[in-house]
Amino acid sequence: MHHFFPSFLTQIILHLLTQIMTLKGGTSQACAACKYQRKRCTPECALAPHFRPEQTEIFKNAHKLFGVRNILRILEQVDPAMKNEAMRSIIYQANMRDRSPVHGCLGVIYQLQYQIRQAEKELYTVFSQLELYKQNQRRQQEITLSPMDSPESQQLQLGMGVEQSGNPGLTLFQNEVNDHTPQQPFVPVAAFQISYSGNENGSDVINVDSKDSMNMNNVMWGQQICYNENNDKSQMVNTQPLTIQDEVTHDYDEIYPFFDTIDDTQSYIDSKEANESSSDSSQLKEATQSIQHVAGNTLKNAQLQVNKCLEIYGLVGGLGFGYVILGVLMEDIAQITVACTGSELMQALTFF
Amino acid sequence: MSSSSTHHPSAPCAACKFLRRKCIKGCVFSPYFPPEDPIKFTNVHKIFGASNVSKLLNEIEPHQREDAVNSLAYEAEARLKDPVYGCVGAISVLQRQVLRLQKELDATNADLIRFSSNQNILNMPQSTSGNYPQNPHALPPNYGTYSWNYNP
Repeated sequence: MHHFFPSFLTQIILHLLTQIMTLKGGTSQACAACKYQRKRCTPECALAPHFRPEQTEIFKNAHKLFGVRNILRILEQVDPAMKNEAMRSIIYQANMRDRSPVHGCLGVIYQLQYQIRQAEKELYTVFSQLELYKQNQRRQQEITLSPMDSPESQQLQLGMGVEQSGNPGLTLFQNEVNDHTPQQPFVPVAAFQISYSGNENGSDVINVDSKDSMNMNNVMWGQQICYNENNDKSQMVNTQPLTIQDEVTHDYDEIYPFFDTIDDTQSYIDSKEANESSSDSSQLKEATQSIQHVAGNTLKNAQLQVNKCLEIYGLVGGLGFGYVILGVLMEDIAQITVACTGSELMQALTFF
Repeated sequence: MSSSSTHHPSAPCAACKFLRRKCIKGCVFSPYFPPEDPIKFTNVHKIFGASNVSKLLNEIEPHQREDAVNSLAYEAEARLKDPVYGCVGAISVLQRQVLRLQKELDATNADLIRFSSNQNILNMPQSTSGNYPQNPHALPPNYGTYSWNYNP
């Protein structure tokens, strides 16, 4: 009987059977959603395009947080074109909640806010330092162009220069931020302060409308949706900003020694005193000590900064910085005369 | 009748009021969904569902439940305002801001290096070969705009 049944017909029948089985959800498996719910995965299954059969863990998280009905409801509310994006965000949110059951996505937001604050502080510091350099350069150019009348006038010029400039670094930064920040002026991330209060502050944060969102196709959060099925949660969400921040901090630590803590400069001072063998350092030390006597603690800090500066940038750089600091402190310290300070430092200068 | 509580002890919490059920003494929702703020629970229920929330809360330590509820409330409100991205939209914005700040920092630090090294070259007296300041970031003397002829 068998040989009456042509082989090509067998092939056709087998092919048809395969097609039917594929229509029913694949020969392999139902989608992860239907698998989880232990039901047949039909061609009309709305979740099948978003949950491959092997993504059981991902669906489990989404189901735990939202539930099938709520997911479907969300999908019904959005445009068909945005369904994939909506599903991605749902999956991301559920994975975050799985990673951190207490804070969920809010934990990620807090982390990012912290990073932003740190970066803003650092940027402000660097801007200020850059401004100092620029001013110093301008003063030096002025000095080169016009002959020096007297130490006093020079000191006054340098001293006053700083006060006039204000905070140009911050201005630069403000301009930059105003260009890019969606709708809010530059305030330290307070604008993003997350607290459920039902008031306007909260709504400002959340108000990212879908049109804007449509430009977010290449956003970074999407790259972390490859939730590892091996349950290795450490690979998951975005540690990249944190990593970048750490690296940057590490690389640039050496660059702005001016802003080391007082403790650091103090330890520098101690070691400097320990190495007091050559006369040039003692001359300089005398000059610096005389400053100390005059002003006490307030100037002491400034002097520590100056010494640090001297070590790294040489005498004139240190002097320039010292003049700048003195200029800033002039308002606070009535008794110190710049001439007095200048003459002592000039003493050190002549030694060199 | 406790005088210190914010609401009458027999008044149902916002959750039980919404669900139209008796608010029993050990109701898991009542500490976190006071009746004065019904919208909070309404939002959370719309997006996540009461049963999911109660399961979630039961898995968390009691001292962390308030934070959990607040984060859920925030996420629910975000999802209602933006059904496509929800709170993930805010994350996206913040991530871009972090990246932008990093780039700005990189650029500004590069400027700083340039400036500091240029000033080193300018400030260096002619005859101080031995006392040349050890700037780890010094560029070669003839780098850039200055035609300083460094002769030790």
